[in-house]
Amino acid sequence: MHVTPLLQVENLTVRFYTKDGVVNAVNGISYTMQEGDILGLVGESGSGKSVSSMAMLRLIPEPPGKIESGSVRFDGEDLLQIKPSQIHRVRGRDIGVIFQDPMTSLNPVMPIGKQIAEAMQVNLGMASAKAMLESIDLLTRVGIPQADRRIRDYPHQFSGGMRQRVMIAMAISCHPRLLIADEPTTALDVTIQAQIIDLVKNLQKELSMAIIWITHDLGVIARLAERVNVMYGGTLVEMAPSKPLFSTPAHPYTLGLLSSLPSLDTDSDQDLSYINGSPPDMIHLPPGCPFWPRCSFRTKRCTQERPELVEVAEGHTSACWHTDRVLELHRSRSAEVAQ
Amino acid sequence: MSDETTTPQPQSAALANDTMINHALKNEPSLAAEELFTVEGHSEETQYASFWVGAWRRFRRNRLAMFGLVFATIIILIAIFVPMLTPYEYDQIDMPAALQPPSHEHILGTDELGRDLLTRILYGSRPMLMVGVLTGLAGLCIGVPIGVLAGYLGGFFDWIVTRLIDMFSALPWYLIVLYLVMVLSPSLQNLMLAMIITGWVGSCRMMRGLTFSIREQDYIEAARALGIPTWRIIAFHILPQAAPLLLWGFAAGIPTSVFAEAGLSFLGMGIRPPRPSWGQMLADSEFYWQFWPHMFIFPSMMITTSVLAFQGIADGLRKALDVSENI
Amino acid sequence: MLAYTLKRLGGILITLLLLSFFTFMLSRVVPGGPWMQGAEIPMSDQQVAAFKEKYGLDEPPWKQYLLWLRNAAKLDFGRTFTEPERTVTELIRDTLPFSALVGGLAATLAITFGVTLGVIAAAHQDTWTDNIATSYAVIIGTIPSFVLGFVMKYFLAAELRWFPAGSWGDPSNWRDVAWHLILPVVAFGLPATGSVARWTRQCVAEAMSSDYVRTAKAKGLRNTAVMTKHVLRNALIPMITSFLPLYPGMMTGSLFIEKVFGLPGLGKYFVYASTNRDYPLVLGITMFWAILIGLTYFLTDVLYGVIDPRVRITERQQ
Repeated sequence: MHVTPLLQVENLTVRFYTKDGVVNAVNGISYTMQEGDILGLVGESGSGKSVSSMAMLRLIPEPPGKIESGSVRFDGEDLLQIKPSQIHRVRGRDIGVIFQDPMTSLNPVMPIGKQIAEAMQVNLGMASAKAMLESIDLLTRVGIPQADRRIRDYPHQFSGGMRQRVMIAMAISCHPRLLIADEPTTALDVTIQAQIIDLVKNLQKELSMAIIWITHDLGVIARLAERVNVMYGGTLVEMAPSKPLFSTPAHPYTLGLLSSLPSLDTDSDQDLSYINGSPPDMIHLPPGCPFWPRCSFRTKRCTQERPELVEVAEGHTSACWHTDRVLELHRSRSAEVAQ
Repeated sequence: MSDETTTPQPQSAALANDTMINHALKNEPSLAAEELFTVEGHSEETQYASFWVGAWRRFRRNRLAMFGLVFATIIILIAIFVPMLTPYEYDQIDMPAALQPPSHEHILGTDELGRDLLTRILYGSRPMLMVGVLTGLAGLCIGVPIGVLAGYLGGFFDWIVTRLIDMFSALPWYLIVLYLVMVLSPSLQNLMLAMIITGWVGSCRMMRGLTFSIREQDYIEAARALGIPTWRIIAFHILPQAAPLLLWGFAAGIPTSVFAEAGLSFLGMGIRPPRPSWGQMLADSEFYWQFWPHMFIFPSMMITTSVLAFQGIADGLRKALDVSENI
Repeated sequence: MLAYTLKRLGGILITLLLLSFFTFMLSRVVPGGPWMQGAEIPMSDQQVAAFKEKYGLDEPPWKQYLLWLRNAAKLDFGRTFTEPERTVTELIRDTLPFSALVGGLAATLAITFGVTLGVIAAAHQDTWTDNIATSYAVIIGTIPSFVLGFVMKYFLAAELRWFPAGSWGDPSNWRDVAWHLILPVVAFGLPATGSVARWTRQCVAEAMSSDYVRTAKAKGLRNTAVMTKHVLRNALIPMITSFLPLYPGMMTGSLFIEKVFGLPGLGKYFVYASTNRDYPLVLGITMFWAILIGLTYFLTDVLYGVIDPRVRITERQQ
């Protein structure tokens, strides 16, 4: 039986026209998500992970940004083609967002209760009194004590972790089917990070939401994601279920990322591994594969032809001309470590 | 085919990767190191111009600012070369020729005493520039050292300076100037003195704030720890950073000073006759404006254009230097 | 909160005290008075001596200051030199309403028009609307009010005869007064529109680019709702604190306009007094203005503390 995927991104391309040049932020990415999927979107700063997600909701500032091409089908409906006035229907109600910095992402002069209630009033047409009651309930759910008193407080009266919980409450208030979490734990302490991740995990189970968790931290991915998409230079370079990604990476970039993670087994004498080179200049992207300037597996072909995503295993795709070498290398290295 | 059986002794993971990979790629056509650099798309070093060059370029693109610069240059030249530009004296009275509209002999007409208007307008550029530019400069010379010292040393000295700043901010500056001119009796020198006395406050406040914020930085502490004397810290670490702000502050004070000179002369508390000033000429047209509009139109135009020009320069500088006004 | 208020009040008092001291001393230390040559009322030596005695000018300066201060605290600034029948306080009381009306109306005009312009410019950032609005603000903001007044007087009053060219009109008929005030208020308020519009644009634009606006949009709010509920509410805070001082500023700064249009305000008397070295009058008016301005700044500070919850509410103990 063919089930319509919840989210179907096809060939999304986003560019920014600045006075320094055209920034190719997202270059033709495609992926699919089903109801309740937990997807991790990994990449370094500038890889296009945030931009691609914001583009879905048309939250990209239109000058200087422009969604050049592609489609984003949510429940079959292309969000990029609908009239601008219709996008408000989807925002907040079908798709919720959590942002990175909760201090600046919350209105400093509005009580948080009102901010949470606002979402429900606007999207569900709830009366304000009822919305406030719901807010109290939501705050309790996200783990804020004395919620009935705290709904009148302002953002600056909360700690960082608490504020993020408030943001989560706001994002899930209308029971969205998809939650986009844009690096929500990057600005928090490690211990708080874990709490927030667990909170989201539990909420996901309760509400059976799909989640796109954007991060550059592989540790977070390991803890939360079922599937992982790796982005580099505005392109999807690898897509895999979580475990296979860590155990059998099929792209040199992923391999580099994983190798650079120090582990408990690492000898203290060993130098830390790293990926040579620097992040790509998004205005002057090299032709061919975006990763070739830093890739140890590169050949001439890589500088001329951009690899497509090919399947290397069940549900596991990678965009590289030399996936076999990568897999081979990883196999032999793991064999050595095992010795 | 490629020989992949190697037994490396990895010293580091990165090294290990490279050794094995290079070995593995031995028989595969690969890129020589030199080839890399000729491939398109590999970005070269971007050349960045120095701060001041960049600022000048930005300034140049601003039309109003360039207009202001051109106008200012012209006005300065006029102020210097006035005697050569006109056959008349500014106080040359010629009663039979009084109150004449623009004509061949008098390009802009004459005033109620038969004095040539164009000459008086041209001469009016002198007090305008002297008050506008010189008072700003003097204000800087006084305000900057005081501000920096107050900001850096703090303590009682800073307390006094703050009280002084407060005092001068309690009233609109033009009222203070008016008061001072009244006490000292109106004249060009006294007007300049009064402007300087009120003007130093602005740059002082700015420098004090800037010094405060810089003082807290780690590199200042490092400099102190190294034993670098205070004066060197101020001269080489604080002042260079203040240069763009000061330049803009100076430029921004000019339109205010031009307005002050015109306004006060208009009220009769500025430049005394017969030396001409545009504000004074505006006031002189009090009884004649209705039927001899040329007497107020030309001074009005000069005042407005001057203020606009210098304001344009100040704005252009602010954008070009990227100065944030709220220190 | 109370401590903060009292501290601010104290600071203002000290400033006023210092100001009064310096201005007073300056007027006594520098030689000269209404008896100087060139003044409107020439006096013989005998008259000068009698004059000095009457106003206590023969006492040592510091004594004069203390006396003046004592009276000033009771808001008695003495009698004017030039019109001895009137006390300074009376004169201020009689002429203040005129200046206040002109200045107040001009400030209101500047704020209403300027804020509207600024919001429009910010809402349409980097489009033609924005460029036109900003250019207009820059140009109109640099025209001195008295120059604009002169030009308007000529074209609209003398030439076209649409408006009267000056004077106050008949005080008993408010319509007549209003008619007479249109030109002065517009000439005075219009240039101020420039800086108001630019500051508004800056505040609103900054609020518009903040993260919480992005959150509001992501929540599903429409653009107008985002503007009114989130942008403006935040932008208003720095805006109000800048615009409130416009009122005393323009009420005290109306002297140029009063001269152009012949309005009987406080400014006109100030200039008159200055030209004639009428010290009690000048001092009295100066101090009055300083008090007015000081109070407004104080009020602004308090208002700021009230409307910004970050100042109002201190961190609760977790």
